[in-house]
Amino acid sequence: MNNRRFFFKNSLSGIRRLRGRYLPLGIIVALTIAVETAALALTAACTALADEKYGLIKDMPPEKIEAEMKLYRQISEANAVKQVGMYINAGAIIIGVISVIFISLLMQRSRIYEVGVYYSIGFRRKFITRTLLFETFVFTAAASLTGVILGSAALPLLIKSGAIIDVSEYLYVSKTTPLLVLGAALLPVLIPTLTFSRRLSKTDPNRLLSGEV
Amino acid sequence: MSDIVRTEGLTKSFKTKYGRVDALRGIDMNVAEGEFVMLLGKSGCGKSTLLNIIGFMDSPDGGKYYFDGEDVSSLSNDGKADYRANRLGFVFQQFNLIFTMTAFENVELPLGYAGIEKSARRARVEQMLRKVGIGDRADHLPAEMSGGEQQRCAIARALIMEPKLILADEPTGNLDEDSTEKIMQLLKEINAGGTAILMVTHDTDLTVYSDRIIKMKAD
Ligand SMILES: Nc1ncnc2c1ncn2[C@@H]1O[C@H](COP(=O)(O)OP(=O)(O)OP(=O)(O)O)[C@@H](O)[C@H]1O
Ligand SMILES: [Mg+2]
Repeated sequence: MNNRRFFFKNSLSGIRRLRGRYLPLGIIVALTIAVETAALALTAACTALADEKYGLIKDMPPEKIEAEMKLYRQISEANAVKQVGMYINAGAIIIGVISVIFISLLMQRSRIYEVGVYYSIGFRRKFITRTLLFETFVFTAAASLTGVILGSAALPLLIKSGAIIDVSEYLYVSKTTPLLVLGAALLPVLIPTLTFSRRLSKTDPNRLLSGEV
Repeated sequence: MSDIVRTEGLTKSFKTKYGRVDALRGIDMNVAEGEFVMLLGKSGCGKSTLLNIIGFMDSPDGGKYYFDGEDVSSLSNDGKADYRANRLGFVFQQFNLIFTMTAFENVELPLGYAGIEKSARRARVEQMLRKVGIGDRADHLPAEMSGGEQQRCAIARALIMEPKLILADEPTGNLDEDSTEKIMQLLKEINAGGTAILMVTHDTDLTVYSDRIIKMKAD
């Protein structure tokens, strides 16, 4: 069918038309992703720092190590930050995944009436579910990307402020973190969409329109 | 003249918690091309069920359904969707407009889905809105229109693909006397242009607008 342009336009129009509802959800996703990005990068950098310093003292004679107490302190501080970072990470990932699933579920459920209208004027079921999938996907991608940028920018600022251990030289090890986080944020979108489209294909369209689903 | 809709022995039952409900038991009926037919009958006798099957919103359990001469008794889901999109228009008691879209956008939807290009869409929608009498409401959301205006908008959407048949399930059920009369006049005008209309109503006063009535009985 010659309606690909309509498909994209109509999917994106959903975000525009429902921006009032989308915006608060987008902020939650972006903030969660920002924390996740920063915490992941921080733990990776701390690991790199601890490993490198440990490599320095590993083969030293004991009397020399005495003089290198500073290295010891750095390693243990890095390890401590790493610990905390891992907890934050685990928490953020759980909150992130749950909120993304929850949000896409909410967005789609609240559209049941609209789906009924699309159905009644002859849109094919696949077209409708693809529209919702694309809309949620674009929204989650935009919110996550904002979060990744925020998180990546916040970490160096945090280090500069002296609030946490200085791992700025080791941040290079976590270059791929943003991609990982983006992928992790987008994957959960699929789950509610797939269950939703399965439900949709079994539901009487008149009940979609009357909202009795 | 040939029939746009013809059914033979159409049956439909629903399974409910309390057992099986036979909503349709062998319906034979027809609507000729360009005809204005009204469907009357007591509440629960199966009018909406019949209209939903004729409108490809539901499938019959048994019997035959011919649309414009073609046997459409057992179409696939996509096949039924294509009929809804291109061959008929549905008008509901609740209007069923999308609340977050303007009148213009609501009417434009079927054209966009059909892949019709923007400038042609604009011209056709504007002309259609004028035809149903809400040319000055193009940028209004449904909530910013009266019930009668919303129904005009829904009728415009049903007509925009130029179908040969309009199905209307109590289209004036939510309207006051004044709007009812205006909507009926609009439907009559549309019918005069050659579009067949099959309309469900409770209001026997409205039968004056029809060419023929079909009375359904719950047996
Ligand atoms: N989805 C459904 N599930 C179960 N029973 C249904 C369903 N739809 C309709 N029925 C039953 O089928 C019968 C016919 O219903 P239908 O809605 O077609 O009646 P109707 O003539 O349109 O009534 P009304 O004038 O009140 O709109 C009723 O007994 C109704 O309870
Ligand atoms: Mg009914």
